[in-house]
Amino acid sequence: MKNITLYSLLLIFSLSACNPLDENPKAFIGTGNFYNTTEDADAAVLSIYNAINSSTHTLYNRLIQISTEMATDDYEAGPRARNAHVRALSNLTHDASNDRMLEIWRQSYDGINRANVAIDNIAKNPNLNSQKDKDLINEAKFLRAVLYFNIVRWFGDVPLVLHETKGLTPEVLNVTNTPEAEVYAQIEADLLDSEALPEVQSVKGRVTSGAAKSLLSKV
Amino acid sequence: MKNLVFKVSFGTDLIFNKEKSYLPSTIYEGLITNGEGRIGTADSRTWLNENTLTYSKIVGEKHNLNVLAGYTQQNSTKEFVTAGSQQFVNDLTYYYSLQSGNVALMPSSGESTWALNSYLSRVNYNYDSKYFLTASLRADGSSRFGKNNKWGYFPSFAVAWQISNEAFFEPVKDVINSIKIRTSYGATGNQEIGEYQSLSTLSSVKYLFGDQIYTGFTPARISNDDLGWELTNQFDAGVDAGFFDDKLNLTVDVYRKTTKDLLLAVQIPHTTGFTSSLQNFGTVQNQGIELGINTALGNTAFSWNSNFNISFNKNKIIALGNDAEFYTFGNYILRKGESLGTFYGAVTDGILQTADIATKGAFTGNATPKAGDRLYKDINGDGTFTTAADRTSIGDAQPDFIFGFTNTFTYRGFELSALINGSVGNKILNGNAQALELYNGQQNASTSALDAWTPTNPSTTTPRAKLDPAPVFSDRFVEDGSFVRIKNITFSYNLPKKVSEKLLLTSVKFRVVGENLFTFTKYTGFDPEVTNGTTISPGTDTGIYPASKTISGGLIVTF
Repeated sequence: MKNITLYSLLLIFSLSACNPLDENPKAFIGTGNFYNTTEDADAAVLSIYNAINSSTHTLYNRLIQISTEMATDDYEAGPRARNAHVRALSNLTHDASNDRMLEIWRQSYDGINRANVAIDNIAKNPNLNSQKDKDLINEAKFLRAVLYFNIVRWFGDVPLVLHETKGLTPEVLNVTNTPEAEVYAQIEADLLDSEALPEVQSVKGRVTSGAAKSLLSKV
Repeated sequence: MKNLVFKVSFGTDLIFNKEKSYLPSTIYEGLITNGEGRIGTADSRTWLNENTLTYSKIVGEKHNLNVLAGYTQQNSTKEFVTAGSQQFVNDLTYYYSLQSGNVALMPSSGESTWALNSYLSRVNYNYDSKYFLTASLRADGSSRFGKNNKWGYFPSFAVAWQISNEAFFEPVKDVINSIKIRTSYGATGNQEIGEYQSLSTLSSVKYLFGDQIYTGFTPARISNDDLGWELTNQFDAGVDAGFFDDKLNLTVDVYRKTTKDLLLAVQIPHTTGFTSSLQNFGTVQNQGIELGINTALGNTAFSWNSNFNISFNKNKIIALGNDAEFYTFGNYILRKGESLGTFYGAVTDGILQTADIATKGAFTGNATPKAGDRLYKDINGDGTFTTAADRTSIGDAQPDFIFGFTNTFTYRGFELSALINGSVGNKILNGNAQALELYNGQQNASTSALDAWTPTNPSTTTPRAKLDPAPVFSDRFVEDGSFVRIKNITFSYNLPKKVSEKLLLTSVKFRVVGENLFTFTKYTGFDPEVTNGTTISPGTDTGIYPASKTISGGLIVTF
């Protein structure tokens, strides 16, 4: 009789192996299984382009255009512009609570983080050392430079984040402003690196050395 | 061993769901796409295995003991796939022939799995049905949490004393037929988040170069290996009493419920590349009293049953994550010591009159103040009003008490029942009023616009109409949401059995039901009971469709 109790208890505890609690998503790629091939690296860089121009209210679609032009005398908020935040820009009464400014800030750092993810992960993988991989890093650096060049002109001193944010502790999350001059120095360094990009890309529309040189001359 | 029961059960839930839709070109939604057909499946497979060992024994006729130990495991997988196409030649084939459409939509599919393993143990003991004792401990492991915190441990303990089963109680049994006092402590966990929320998975995004679509991948969130169970500790003490052969029943409970490590999508600095992250964040306490009274009076011809319950609850934030004193969240503030759902905005201070422009103009928040602008209080005392700096707590969405009262009268075949419910002391953010009081001439306005300030109508409550009002969230739009509502009145008549039997029917019932017939409230929005929002932002009324007032009649025939 005692044996039966013992066996049933043993059975109960042996069952726990049947139902593992580790999550192994089938429909999602984990960051740990990625950034291993040049194709992965390419997809990481493509996601930066998506951050700067995808749907209507993204940076290089309407967001920058409306938010900057509305504050000039080129644009007036007409009767159809019912968004109070847009009207505030037109009247120059906008402040830190303006949602267009917030979106510019948010989307710029979204793109910067995507660039940092690409640069960090391609650079740290010893197998990714072909010319194409180096080009991809430089392409990401160019896009990071564009985004910093925009926000440093709008906001002045901004936090200069150059690596992927990992972890959620206050020390990691709360970054401080970097002086404008240092931000410009980083923009310059990134653009000098991206001058090594090919003069002509196989896919039209991707960053070339010419783009890097022209932006550098503007900076 | 005759007192030992070993039970193994295995159960499964299989759900097969198929969704088919077609938007014909003849309706507005299908006009642009010239017909859109979609077909898809969404299946879920869940299995549950329970293994328990129960030992029960009665010792010496009075000691009742019951011990349980067990292990249960549960696993669930969901899968979906959808496909569709647009631009059909005509609307004849619906979703049955997607290949007939000229434009194929991107198909999509997905999969997710969760697992839950639990160890259980429980001891029940009672002595002569007078003294009751229960103790339990369970450990639950959920796949949904981060790898460092999958397991949660939940003890509970309860004692009760059925005083009315004591011998000394016999003399008063004619008045109090049963009385029980009880107290308990218990911990429970919450794992209601989606799958894979602790992992940094990649999401796919698209970009167009020329006419070619390219796919990129970017992390969907910052991984959180420490994500774990939300834990609620509850103390409860109560009395259940029945009087006059259960004609009157009374239940009183006092409780204190502390929930810590709340599962919240916490805002994080945008410089991380993300706006929020799911974290265990903060501690909230609810404490209060609940009272319930039931009566059952009458005889077979006439009866009156009533049920009254009222609960007083006090909600308080005990701690916020990262040792913060407060967080602002849209129109809300989360501050230590205050309730969840505390509104955070400006305090109105009348209307700027022509004579006061020089002295009070700085309190309008406008660069060039004009007479008729609304004035706000300068909370931080810096001599000027700004929307961001001069906000304060302006009421909260938590009621002082809520109640419900049901009465049912029956007389022969007639039955009348009424449910009254109410809430007292809660505030509502009337978002609809905020939108309608812009008076900018480009959208509908509230009738309060008729009293808007003009030089000839120097209103002290309603500002002037202007093209570019700055929308300031203020106490003007936070209203008392207290209400009493006659939620339901039902009147019915059952045909006597004799009559229905002659008609060869089991029963015949006529019924009239009125829902939401009367509401007593000072709230100016559509409906004080319908608001939306989340746990941390309750009590916002964005002009949601109100509960309708309905009267319906019915005839219920049972064959």
